[in-house]
Amino acid sequence: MKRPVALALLLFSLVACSRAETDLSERKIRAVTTTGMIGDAVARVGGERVNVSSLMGPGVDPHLYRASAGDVRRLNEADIVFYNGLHLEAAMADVLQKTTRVKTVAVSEGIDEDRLLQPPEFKGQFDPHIWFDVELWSSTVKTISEALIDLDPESAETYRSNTDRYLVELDQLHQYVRERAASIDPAKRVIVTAHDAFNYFGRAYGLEVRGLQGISTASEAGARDVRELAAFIAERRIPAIFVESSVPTRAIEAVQAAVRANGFDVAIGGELYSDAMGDAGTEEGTYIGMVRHNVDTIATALSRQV
Amino acid sequence: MFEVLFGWVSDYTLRTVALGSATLGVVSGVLGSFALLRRQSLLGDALSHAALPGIAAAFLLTHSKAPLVLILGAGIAAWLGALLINGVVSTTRIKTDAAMGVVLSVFFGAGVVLLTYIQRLPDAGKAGLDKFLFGQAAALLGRDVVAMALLSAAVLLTVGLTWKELKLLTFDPGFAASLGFPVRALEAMLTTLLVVAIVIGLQAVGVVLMSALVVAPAAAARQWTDRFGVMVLISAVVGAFAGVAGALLSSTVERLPTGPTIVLMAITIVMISMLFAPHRGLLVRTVQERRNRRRLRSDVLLMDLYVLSLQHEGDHPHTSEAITAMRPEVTDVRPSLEALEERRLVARKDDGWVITDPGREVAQRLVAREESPEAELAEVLSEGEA
Amino acid sequence: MDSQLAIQVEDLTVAYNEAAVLWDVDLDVPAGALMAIVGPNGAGKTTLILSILGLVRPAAGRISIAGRPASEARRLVGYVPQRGSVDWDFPTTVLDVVVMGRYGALGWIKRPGKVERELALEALAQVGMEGFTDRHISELSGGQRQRVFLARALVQDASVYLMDEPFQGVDAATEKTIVDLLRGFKAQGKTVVCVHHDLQTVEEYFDYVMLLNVRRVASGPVSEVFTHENLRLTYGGRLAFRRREESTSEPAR
Repeated sequence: MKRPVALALLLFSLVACSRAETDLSERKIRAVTTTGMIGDAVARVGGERVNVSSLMGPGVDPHLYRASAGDVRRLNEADIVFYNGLHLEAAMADVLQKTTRVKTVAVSEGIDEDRLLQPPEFKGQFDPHIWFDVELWSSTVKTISEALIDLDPESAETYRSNTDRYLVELDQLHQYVRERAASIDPAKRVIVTAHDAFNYFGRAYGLEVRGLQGISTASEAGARDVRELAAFIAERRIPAIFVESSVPTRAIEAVQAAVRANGFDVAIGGELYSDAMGDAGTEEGTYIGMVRHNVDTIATALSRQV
Repeated sequence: MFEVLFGWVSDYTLRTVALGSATLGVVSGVLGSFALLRRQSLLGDALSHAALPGIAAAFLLTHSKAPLVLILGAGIAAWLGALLINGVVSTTRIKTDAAMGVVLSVFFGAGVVLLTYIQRLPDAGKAGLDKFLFGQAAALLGRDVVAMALLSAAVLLTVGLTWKELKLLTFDPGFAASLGFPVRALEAMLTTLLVVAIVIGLQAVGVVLMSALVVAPAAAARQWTDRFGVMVLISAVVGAFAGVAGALLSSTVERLPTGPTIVLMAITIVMISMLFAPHRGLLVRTVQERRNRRRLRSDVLLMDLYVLSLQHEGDHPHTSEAITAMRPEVTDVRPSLEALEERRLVARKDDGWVITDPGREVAQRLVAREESPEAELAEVLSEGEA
Repeated sequence: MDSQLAIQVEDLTVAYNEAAVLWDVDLDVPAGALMAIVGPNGAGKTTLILSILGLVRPAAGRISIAGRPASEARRLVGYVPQRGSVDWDFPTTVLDVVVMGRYGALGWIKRPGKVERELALEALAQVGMEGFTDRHISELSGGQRQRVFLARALVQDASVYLMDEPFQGVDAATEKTIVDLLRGFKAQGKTVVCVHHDLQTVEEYFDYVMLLNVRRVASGPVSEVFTHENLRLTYGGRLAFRRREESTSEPAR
């Protein structure tokens, strides 16, 4: 009775181990990421060596996203998993924890804690929206690079050269954003959005940031928050407020209506990509395109004459 | 404080949210009263949960996030849920409560599955379907409130016109049918009105919390009155009050979501009603019962002392121990005697107690009124005396 | 359709979940009759009443009231249900319940007014409940509740009354009130059919009787039909009963 069981266990462990022994240099690496931004970075670093798929596509809200059974399967069949960390993927946390058979990498790992922002209402937690500070994002690119090199040392050269090239582009992007941001009238340098996604952006590029909801879209804005924001906008005479691609618009519309009732006309300056990128295949479907779109939209809208 | 109470009239957001919530409170209060009296309060819960797949399906079919479309989907799904509940009850052996539970969980589960599927679609985040779980009252727009008001007016008008039919239906449907009223049709109409009430509230408080607003105002109102019309009115007022109070409270405290606050207000009113309402309140009833019991005990002791005084010459005192021995079922003889002493019906004498003249008068009155053995004995004895 | 008959039931069959509750029942109720329906538990007595009222769908059969199909004659029929069929905790007053009897006459939407109130007060006086107008129905005793139901039936001013166990669990005073009421109806030429549980009082209170046990055992004048044999057939022999007219008391065995 005991022998067949032992035999079965032995066979099973052999099979389980054997998967890990597959020679990765013979084929493309299967990388699975959570957000599209991470996916874009992994694609740039990995180049031809990597097949990337992201669980969360354009318009998807990572704070609320719940993994389906298909997602769990995809995670477990990957060679490596990249996720943001810092509790961005709040609804998926336990799924990520249970994915033990595959190496999971939080791209925010390499960032020094004192470079991270701490939101006042979540003691001990950090603001996860790190991709809006291009410099900060560059360090995650390095983390990704190291992880890929670790997994597949044979192609280390490829990864390193891809990374170097990408970092140059990111540096150019960083400069571009700084210039555009500086071009806005200092009195009008305020971004008002649906949730607090842009704190890092604000800090890096000298803009004041106000969100209606807090750090996570899982919270619900109260009437007081709408009122206070509306009063703030009217008082500072801010020309435009912004909706986000992954968050419902009606909350911002309610703010706009309240501001108008206060006698000031604020425009909806455009749609920003906050927690997700644009459609695949478009310019905004890449990280660089997304950031450029955002800063262009912001700069144009805030420079409007009121 | 002043600003909070009256500032809402001038502040756009507060005005909008308060008006929307008040409207929703009134309608759910009215329909909730009928549901409560028909013992169908759970139906509100089942139907609001059943609305979820309708919202998801409406979005999938039309790719529109216009509130009207989503709400129409919600209404259709809730109505189908109601049909299914009735169908299950009438064709199988399953009783209403189980049928409601089944429909609630199956529909809601289907809704969650659809939502999980939808979340991967582009634009899904923008539609904000998740917001229908708990509502987003703070984001009510002027046009939303107008739509809510129009629907509410239609519902209330219908209820007003068919008031006596609905009252009869709720009290005695068999008799209503015997009079020739189409009971099935009336019940369908009532269910439809309930669905509309639920659907009006979904944007503000969401699928999960809406059931509370159907039950709570009616439950609170029931405690305060025994008249049908008054109960419905109180229910509407409670609902409106909870709506406005919730809106005001969430406007003064930071990061307090409006929908859940409204529900909490309603529940608080229910708690207060359960405890403090005049005839049915728990506190009042307990106090009243205790007072009655104490009264009974002291009446009994007084009559005992009266009987004793008739059997003995003069003012012969009896110790409380002796009295306790006579009346072993009274556990607190001393405090009762002391209470009687306070009322000057008995007095201490030596180391015992004796009845006073005023006490005798009261005892005589008690004797005349009651039929207990003590009273009969006292009557016989006092006749002997006379 | 015989219009001399207040109620005519033909071939009525009713089934719940494939079990027959009424099977091929015929019944002729002459106009002006005061009829009792008796039978053991589960005999289908209440179902018969409900069928005549149109509240239960039959599997087969025809019912006519005063020569017309039952569905057209609703106005002519007054119904006094069992007391237990209603939630007496409902927030309403005695007067309110009695006024409900006029709802049929009022029709849709119209609200009851002074006229209806007056009629209700009269009816309450007739059943001896005039002091109870604003009393809440939860505070009433069993007999008082029955009288409220009767007052409600009175205001309907129907020509045919169907009552379900009106004498069940009432005190002596109420029983007298009910009997007086029934006799008053008869004097006015109204027809009354009661599901009745007390065999001892059938002969005293009623002039017609129907013995029912899923099938019709017998129906007709009490003097002709209320026999030992019929009772035995209806109740299956497990009955100890004394007929008043028989000099020797024989248990039906």
